[in-house]
Amino acid sequence: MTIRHHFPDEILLTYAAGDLDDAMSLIVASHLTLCPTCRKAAAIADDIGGAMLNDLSPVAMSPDALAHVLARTEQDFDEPKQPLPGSTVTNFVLPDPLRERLGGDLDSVRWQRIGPGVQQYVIARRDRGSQARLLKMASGRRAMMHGHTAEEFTMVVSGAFSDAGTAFARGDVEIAGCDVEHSPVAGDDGGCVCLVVMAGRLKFQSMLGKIAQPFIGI
Amino acid sequence: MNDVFGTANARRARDDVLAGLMAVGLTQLRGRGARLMADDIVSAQTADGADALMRRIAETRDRQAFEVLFAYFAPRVKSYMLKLGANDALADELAQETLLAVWRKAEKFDRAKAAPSTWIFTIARNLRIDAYRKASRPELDPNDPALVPDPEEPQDRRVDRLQRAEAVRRAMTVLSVEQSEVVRLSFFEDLSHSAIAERLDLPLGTVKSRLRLAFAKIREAVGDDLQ
Repeated sequence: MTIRHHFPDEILLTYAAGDLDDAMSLIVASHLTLCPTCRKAAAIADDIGGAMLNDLSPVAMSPDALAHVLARTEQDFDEPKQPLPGSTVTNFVLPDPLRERLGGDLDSVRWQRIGPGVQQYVIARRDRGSQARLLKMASGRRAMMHGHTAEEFTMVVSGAFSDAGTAFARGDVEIAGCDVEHSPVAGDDGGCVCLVVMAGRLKFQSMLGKIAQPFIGI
Repeated sequence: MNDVFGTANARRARDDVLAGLMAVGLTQLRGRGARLMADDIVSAQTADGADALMRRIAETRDRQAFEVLFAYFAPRVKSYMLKLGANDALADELAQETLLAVWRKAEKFDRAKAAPSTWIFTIARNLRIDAYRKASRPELDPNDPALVPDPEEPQDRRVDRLQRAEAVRRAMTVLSVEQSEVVRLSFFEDLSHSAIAERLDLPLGTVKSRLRLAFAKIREAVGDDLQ
């Protein structure tokens, strides 16, 4: 399984800089879990941050800063939580950043039906920044034709879909710009689950989509 | 040009170190019996030097090594926080938290993955984000069972992470003025691509392509241009 559709360099760079909002960071971190190629690029982008930190002009710390820190090094601290003993499951479907956010793996998602053969779970509402949601489409299901008010990033978590003849499998990311109108189709073999992050709102063409929009939280 | 350091860069490093020493308060260090020399701290600015300090901290909980690392990095992390809009008190606190995390996580530092400066940068960046947002930043977990492992790198293409960090640092100096400007705005101004475009009065596409070119140049310099 090789990932063919990646995040562009400028997004990996902005992730390293720490400028992506929560939902975008979530999809990038999830992709990095599944994609060694982007992981390597992201590591080099982190090196850029390290280099810039090295070359910053130092600013005086408060006089007692070191003493404070040294005093605290003597205190015990809580180790970050370890996985529960006995939980030996290793065949997770979702990458850790997603499991962390959902509090479990794919089988624990409480889906909300938004149409025939289409379910979603909203992870991050878009009151601040981008919206993130999981979208589950049954085998062969076609999404309503829609455009976007901003870029939409769709990463396959399980299964596959195709869009205008291009196939997307686990880990692949489809980026649909503002100018793109599309209608992806879930794979025939078990459908697909995708993480979808969108900075703007969907623009549905059909009347039905327009009526449904306020109720499905997208 | 003829001083002991030889190059302008090294001279600047020495000046920075002296400023760094002032910054942590020499008297305080003397009070603890530490014999911190400027040259010790100069050692922290190279990847190898910082790595040697990290080893001492991880293996023997060496406080003196930590003090050297603190003297070099804390004032730089503070500078980073100030650039990104923190006030003096918060910047100081976040720099302290960053270095405390360095002490506590020293055993987990993996030199096969990153140079110390890179690692410290990521800790500082994440603490900054966590301080400003309610939720903590979604991060890759290298121990995630769902992680798709790296392919075996052929021996001759394997780049030492410390060398890579130094190569990236050198490559940064050969970026064009326009390229380094967009990189700097990304890392130090917390600006999205569209905010950078607005700031520089450029089309969004130009900002993206400058970032992409800058990154390509750096990746080429570290021999990762095969994509």
